[in-house]
Amino acid sequence: MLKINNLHATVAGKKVLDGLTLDLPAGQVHAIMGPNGSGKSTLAYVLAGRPGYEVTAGSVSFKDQDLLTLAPEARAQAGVFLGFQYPVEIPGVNNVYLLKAAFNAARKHRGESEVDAFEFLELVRIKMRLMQMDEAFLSRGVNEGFSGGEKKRNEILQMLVLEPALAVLDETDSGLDIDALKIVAQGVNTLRSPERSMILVTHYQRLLDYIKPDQVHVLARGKIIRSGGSELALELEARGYDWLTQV
Amino acid sequence: MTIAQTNAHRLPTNRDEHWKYAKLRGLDTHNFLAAIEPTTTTTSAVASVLPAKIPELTRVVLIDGYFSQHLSDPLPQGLSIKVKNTLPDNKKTRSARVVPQSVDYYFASLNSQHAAQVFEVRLSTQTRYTLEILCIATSGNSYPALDIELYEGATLTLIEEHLNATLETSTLTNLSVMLTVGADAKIDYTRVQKQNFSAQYFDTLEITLADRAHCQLVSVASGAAASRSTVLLNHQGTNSALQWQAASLAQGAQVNDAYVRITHSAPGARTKQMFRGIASGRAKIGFNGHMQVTADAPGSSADQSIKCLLTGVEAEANVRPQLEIYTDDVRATHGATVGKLDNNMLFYMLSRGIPEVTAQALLKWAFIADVIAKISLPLVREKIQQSLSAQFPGGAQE
Repeated sequence: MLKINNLHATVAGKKVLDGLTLDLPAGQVHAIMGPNGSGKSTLAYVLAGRPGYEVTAGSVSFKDQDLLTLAPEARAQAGVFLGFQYPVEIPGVNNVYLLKAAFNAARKHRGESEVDAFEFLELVRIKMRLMQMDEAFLSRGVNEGFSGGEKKRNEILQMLVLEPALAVLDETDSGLDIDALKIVAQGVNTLRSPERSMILVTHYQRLLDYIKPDQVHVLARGKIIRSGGSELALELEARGYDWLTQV
Repeated sequence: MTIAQTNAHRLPTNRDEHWKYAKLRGLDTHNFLAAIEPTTTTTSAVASVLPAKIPELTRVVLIDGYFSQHLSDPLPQGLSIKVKNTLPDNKKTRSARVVPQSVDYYFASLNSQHAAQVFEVRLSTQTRYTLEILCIATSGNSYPALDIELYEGATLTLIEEHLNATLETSTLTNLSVMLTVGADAKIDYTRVQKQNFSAQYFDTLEITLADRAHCQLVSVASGAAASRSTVLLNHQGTNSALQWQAASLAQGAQVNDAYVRITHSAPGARTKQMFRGIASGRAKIGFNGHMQVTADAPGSSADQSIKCLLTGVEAEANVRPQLEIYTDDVRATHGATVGKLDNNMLFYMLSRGIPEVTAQALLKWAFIADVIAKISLPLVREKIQQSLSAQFPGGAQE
């Protein structure tokens, strides 16, 4: 599904990713953990194509195509979804309108016909029930005035609607209370399938109590320094990162 | 007749404080002849370009400032047309301005000299009208003149729209509106200017609000090569209220300028003013919002929010918020920003697969959505949304 090879990237001229290599097969969920400033969010943004995040070397192949040559919107249409650590508020742009526009853009890309507002509303209502979100959220501005937890739920709602092939969730668990965490995890688990892969960027092991990763990677100084099973996350929780980074 | 012959007072220039950003080039040699009365052929041509009628509105059509009975609905009682030279002597409000008080009244003065007719609307006490006035410019000069007075407790919903008969013909419109809102009267006024991109458009709107009068004004300007609006409003009565919203959309090489002076002259006057401008291409937007609270207006409130978005590399916006306060008992806020599209918002939408053109259109639309939302009649609001959708492909949200 996703093959990252020797990826180097800079932000504002500063080297952040320094030879990152990762292989994410279809159907798997990988967690990426690491200390602050290790490059976790940069990896997420580079995969989504955020301007200002410059790839200086290496390659990223997504479903056997060169992801780095695609514009951000083309990556999304091809099935890459970024769940933001800090979802952006867009006053004046209706939540349901953004969702429908995104949904239809992906359908159009696949050569499918666009769905009308009525049909779309039926679909989105089902997903909202899963996320225990009130329908009133649909008519509000995108993330406008949402609490931190509501924003994160909204991110997962978008993911459920768009059904991406690759989801990169950047600290989706941050700022969530335990009940919200369970709901978000339920949303994520709903989407797990043999055709779909996920990267969970997180600081804490607790998310992994609810979403069982196939692999856990530790990112430090822009590269993966250790990989293992879910037991690695437990070890990190107990011992911190120092024993890995002070080499 | 040239400008030098029309009036002792001079034409405004960019050296005048309130006219710095207006496009005035060529006016000094322009021939400000009176408009030609439309022929049957002209009227037929206009008939074919009129927008679809909104059933709940009584339609009035002015062609180059002349009332067209043929294209208008039957006038309800209280509405009348006065041919200028039949105005009674005690109604010298327009001709009194032949020598203008200041250069800001220059175009109104010119209108009072050249308008052959004044469309007069009088709303008797406690009456209610819903009116659509379409001003169509066909060729040359056009001097629409409106004189509107709402007596005590009357309510008027007014949609005023400015169009051209063709997409190419160069015209010069000089509109003058005098609006008096009586005690406890209420006006809900929507003004749309979408003349063609060869047109020059000037308007002067003078408003007086009496005790507890309420004025809600929404202005959407997207047309004309050069446009300039002058609004001079006086809160003459106590506890009068104004909600003033404007969206100015300029593209290509358009120049869209406005000067709005709001004077609070009586206690308890309230103003909420919102201006949103989007300049793309090489377009220029100017907005000078001047709010005065005099010593006679304690307990006033004055809120001003001015924002402009630049989406073209060579686009320009010049905004000037001004609060001038001569009393301690006042609540006033003001803010002015000029910026570009928010990159974080843009990337968020791109990351959802929304094409860049659509994402930009959505953000532009969102920028003026607060203004459009204030248009109270749903059918009018939808119509304006539709007409703007060409400027924001994929941006107008149903």
